Amino acid sequence: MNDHFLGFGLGLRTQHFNDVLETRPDVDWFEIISENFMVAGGKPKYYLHAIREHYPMVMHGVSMSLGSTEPLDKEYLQRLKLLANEVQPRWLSDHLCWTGLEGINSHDLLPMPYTEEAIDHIAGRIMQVQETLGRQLLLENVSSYISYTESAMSEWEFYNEVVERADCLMLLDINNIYVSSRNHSFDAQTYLNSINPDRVRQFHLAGHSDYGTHVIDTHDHDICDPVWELYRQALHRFGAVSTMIERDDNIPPLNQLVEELQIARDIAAGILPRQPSGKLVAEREVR
Amino acid sequence: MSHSTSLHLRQQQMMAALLTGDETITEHIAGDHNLNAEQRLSIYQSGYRLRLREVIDNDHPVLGSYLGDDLFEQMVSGYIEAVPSRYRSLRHYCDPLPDYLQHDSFFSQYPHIAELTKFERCLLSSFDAPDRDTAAVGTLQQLPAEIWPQLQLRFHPSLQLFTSHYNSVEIWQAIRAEQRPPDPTPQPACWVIWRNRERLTEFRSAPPLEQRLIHSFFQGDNFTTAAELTATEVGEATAAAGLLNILLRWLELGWISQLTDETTPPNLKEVE
Repeated sequence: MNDHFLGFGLGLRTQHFNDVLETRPDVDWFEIISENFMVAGGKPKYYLHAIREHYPMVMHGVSMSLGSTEPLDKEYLQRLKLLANEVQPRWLSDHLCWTGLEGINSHDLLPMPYTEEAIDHIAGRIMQVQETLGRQLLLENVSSYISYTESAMSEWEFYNEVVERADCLMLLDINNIYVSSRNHSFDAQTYLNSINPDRVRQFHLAGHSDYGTHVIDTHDHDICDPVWELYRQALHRFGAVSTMIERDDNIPPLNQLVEELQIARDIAAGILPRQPSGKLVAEREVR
Repeated sequence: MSHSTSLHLRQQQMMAALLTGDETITEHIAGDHNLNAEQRLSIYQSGYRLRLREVIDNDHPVLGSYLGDDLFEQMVSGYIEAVPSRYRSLRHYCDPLPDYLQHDSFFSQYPHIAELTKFERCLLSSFDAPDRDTAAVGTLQQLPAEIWPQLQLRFHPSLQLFTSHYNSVEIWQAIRAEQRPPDPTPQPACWVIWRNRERLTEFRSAPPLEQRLIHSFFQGDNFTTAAELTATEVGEATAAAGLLNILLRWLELGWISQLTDETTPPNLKEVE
């Protein structure tokens, strides 16, 4: 039995704080954006602790800037560690990207060139971070709109190699694979089939904005059919992996997100084997 | 890592594209039949501006309404151009906004705008200030009378004194109530901002005696000094009762986290 399988979760958003506490929705766990709770006190912290009493949590960061060529921000890492001590998350994640340089933050998840130099650089930094935090990190693939001419390999080769060298784990964003496959005209199934299943601990699902010639990862729509289809394929390949829905804009009422999460549960129930207890079996079906 | 690597150079070029519009990096971006390199880069360039614009909009709704669309756009463009984010969290991106408005050649002509912005930031700062228990109303009476003269106050960490030189808070209130704001006019005032027990941010004006007492307690003065100060304002006869009333009101409002006869450093947070 895979003890990493938390079930089906949602991103914890300010708009839902009250509803989560009052209605205790059928959500197995919540993911928090770490930076949103790196504050001294007040309402966000109050709700964080109150909700944590009832739900497992994982922490997801957006500004570790693992791929940047500026030094790691040690103060940020210490604050993250303090927050992790408070929240006691099942795990902690950030992105396969860089976010800023020379003290300036773009607040965007900027892609890396897929080169040996970049692998060495980011893998080394992930190892430093893991040592500082005293835990393995989950690394998430990002949506991208550019690729660099000097890239010498595919995104999935780069991702696998970084994760192997850094000995970290993967947060596979199914929507990001879809978005990038459209933007860079690669086959999303090939991406999935190339990912090392032993490293995958979490899935992200989300909506995006489709402009025809390109797709932008906006997290402001429901999950679309092609992404649900890719999720099915991911379940076939990786088995029971903790799955959550990210929604960051045009945020609907909590019950609508719980309904959308039910779609993920139903899809998984149709694909994954069950234990006699009725629980999903966590071993992967296909390797 | 050496800063002469191609990775570092590429990152410098990308930041230049975001911050200054320098498009040198397009030579290193692959285009295709759907989008060329410039179009792909522009997704990041417009995303950068949109994201920061949204933060200014969300953090400063009253300022936005007060300025109106055109002036707000002028401020947003100028600020994003002049002040890149040096913060890990977007929550702090607008911290230097009052200072920007105070020194910008256009907005500095209207100093009440910077002040109104500073007021909005103080409200946000109280909102997520550190948590601390507040002393109950009965705390004072439970302490032995003989230690009262030496007692000091520790204010709740969210409590701030905001000094204004214009009627900026009245303007803020009017906009918030969707009423026509008063014309800007010099009008010195002092306000106490704090987070109440329901974790909501509140503010109210502080009369001169209250201001002086807050200053005094912030400086670490004890009840004896506070009583003397009160006496100079209201006279000896009613000083003790007057001070007691003020302290009880502060306790009710949740401004005081601790009453102590230990001399520990005070926690002054004053914004001017």
